[in-house]
Amino acid sequence: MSEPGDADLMLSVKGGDVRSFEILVGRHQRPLINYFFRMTWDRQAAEDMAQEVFMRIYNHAKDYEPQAKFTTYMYRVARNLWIDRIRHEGHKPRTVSLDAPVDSEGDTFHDVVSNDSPAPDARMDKEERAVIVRRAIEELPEEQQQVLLLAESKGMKYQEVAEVLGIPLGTVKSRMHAAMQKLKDLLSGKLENLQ
Amino acid sequence: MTHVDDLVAFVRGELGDAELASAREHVAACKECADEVKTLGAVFGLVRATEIEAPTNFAHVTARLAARTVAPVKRKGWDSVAWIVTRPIFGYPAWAVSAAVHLFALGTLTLVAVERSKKSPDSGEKLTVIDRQPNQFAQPIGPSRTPEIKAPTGEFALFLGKRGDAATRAELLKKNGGAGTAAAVENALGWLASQQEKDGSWASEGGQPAYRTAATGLAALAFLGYGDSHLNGEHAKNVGAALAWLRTQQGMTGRIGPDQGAVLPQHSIATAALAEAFLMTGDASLHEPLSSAVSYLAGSKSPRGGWGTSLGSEPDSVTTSWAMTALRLADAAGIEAARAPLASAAAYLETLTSTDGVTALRDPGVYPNGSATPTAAALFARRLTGLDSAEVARRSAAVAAPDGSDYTAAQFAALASLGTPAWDASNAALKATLLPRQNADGSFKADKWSGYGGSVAATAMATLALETYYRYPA
Repeated sequence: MSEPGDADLMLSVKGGDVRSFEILVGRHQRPLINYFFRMTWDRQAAEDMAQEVFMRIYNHAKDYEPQAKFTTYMYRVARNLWIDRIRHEGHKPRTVSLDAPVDSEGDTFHDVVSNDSPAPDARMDKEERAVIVRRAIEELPEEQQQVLLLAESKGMKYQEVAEVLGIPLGTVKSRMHAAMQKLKDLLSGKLENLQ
Repeated sequence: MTHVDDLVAFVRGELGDAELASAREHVAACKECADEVKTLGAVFGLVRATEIEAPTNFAHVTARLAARTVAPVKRKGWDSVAWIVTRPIFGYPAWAVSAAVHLFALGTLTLVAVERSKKSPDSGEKLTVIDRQPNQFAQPIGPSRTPEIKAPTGEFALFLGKRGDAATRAELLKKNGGAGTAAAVENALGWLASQQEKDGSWASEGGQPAYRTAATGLAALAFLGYGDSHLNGEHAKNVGAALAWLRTQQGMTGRIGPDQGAVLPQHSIATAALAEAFLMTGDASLHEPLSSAVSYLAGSKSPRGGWGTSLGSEPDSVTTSWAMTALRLADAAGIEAARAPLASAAAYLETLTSTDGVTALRDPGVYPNGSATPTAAALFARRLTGLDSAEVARRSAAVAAPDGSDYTAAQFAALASLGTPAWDASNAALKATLLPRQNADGSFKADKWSGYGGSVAATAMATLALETYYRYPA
């Protein structure tokens, strides 16, 4: 028997089935957390925002209609939450400097991206690489960054990115192209060392 | 030769069959495009390498939180929910942690019926008031080796509904030896009122901006501790505005305050303020935000039984004591979900407490910031959860007397010692060390934790310590 699809699970959630909701969250948690993580570079904030997205979906499950793909719906909610945060805080909620502690233990961004505790030398390489890539992504204009991060969320296709953002497919293509060209420029000369 | 128009789309597999075949053929023959494909692939690889794992228990906790948020009062048995994220934490702001603690205690109350209403002094809005009656604390919970949660004993087996009665306050002030503190508290409350901002909050002046929720929660608790609620008392408008602001800080998950830093200490302080106000007034409009806040707290408990400063962080005894206080108040207010987490939390505190009553912060026998605050906070939390009175008396010997340098420790010490053999010495030290630290304008001088919460939190915390005599009127 095949696994139930997202829409089937959402219909079960609509009927009050919490277990289906848990399956749905488990299925999509990682790309959603990473979507927020790459905008904030703060693991805790990313987890909190992802949880808020799922809570919103659960609380509005009664209104769910399986017209759009579930992930499209989910990322629209995520996008709206992000916009709410920006409006609320007046700027991007990106407050963590690379060398500042990102948690009360004193772990820095370096620690966060290196949580698999590799050997010291390897860890240093990974930290440096992560910092360089992060800085490059942060250099992207907001509209390019959004396209890139959505497209990199579980390999979302351009058409779905367009639906989430409510922009034409051609605009997604051009923004993605521009984002990659800029990333390539920013990382040029470093790629060999980074790989 | 015409190069491939969109190699990014090619690398991502976005091209249709016809375009793809053509592009493949071209790239195979064109070194320039092949190099570009290789470079783009490397860039994508670097972006993907920043990916992080989801917390192990994320889906489970999220599902339970969601279910609780929708119908928090009807659900049971969600106790051991927690993140299993292994991110260690440290550096909790202990001033914040203890703050909430004063507030509570109490005889438990059960919501019974909606019977009458009265008007808010500020808005004229009609508020529903719920009558309550004592709960007998008759049902032991949790496995047999975890402590049974019972009614608080001694000074704390009380109704907060009696707060605000001037005669009762005066009687308890006299009974508990609070002579000379009344003017200090009133001056401090006057100063706090003068510092409140238009939106109802207090800034953490002199501290860190991120602690506004804690500063506001503590200030609200200071007014509530004196007996003023949002419906009654000289500072009703201050309390009402503070509670309203705290509610604006509550998100979909029930969390009050920011999602970074000292998340759970701040959330617990705010939750305690809501719970105290609800206990004092029965204002039904507070029920839903309080239930939601309790759900968040219950869902954020560590598998070890306690709470850390943020979701997934390693638990510690001070944050746990603070969270337990908030939950105990909510439990007393009839929020059903608040009861279950208390037993395992009490058991967690016991694992950190030595045979002579000294409590460690995180690991038995380890006291990174000294043992004064953890010991006093844990004993107060255990008093709230029904620790036998003889054992309370025995452990009170381990509670350090206040020395004026740490209002958080002073507050916990006073609450832990009240009515015990240690009370007289503790009370004498409390007055001797705190009263001289009050400024002419009513505020208190900075203490050990003012770098976090600033002058408002310091003054509120000192005030709460000096309200110990009558905060839980029997």
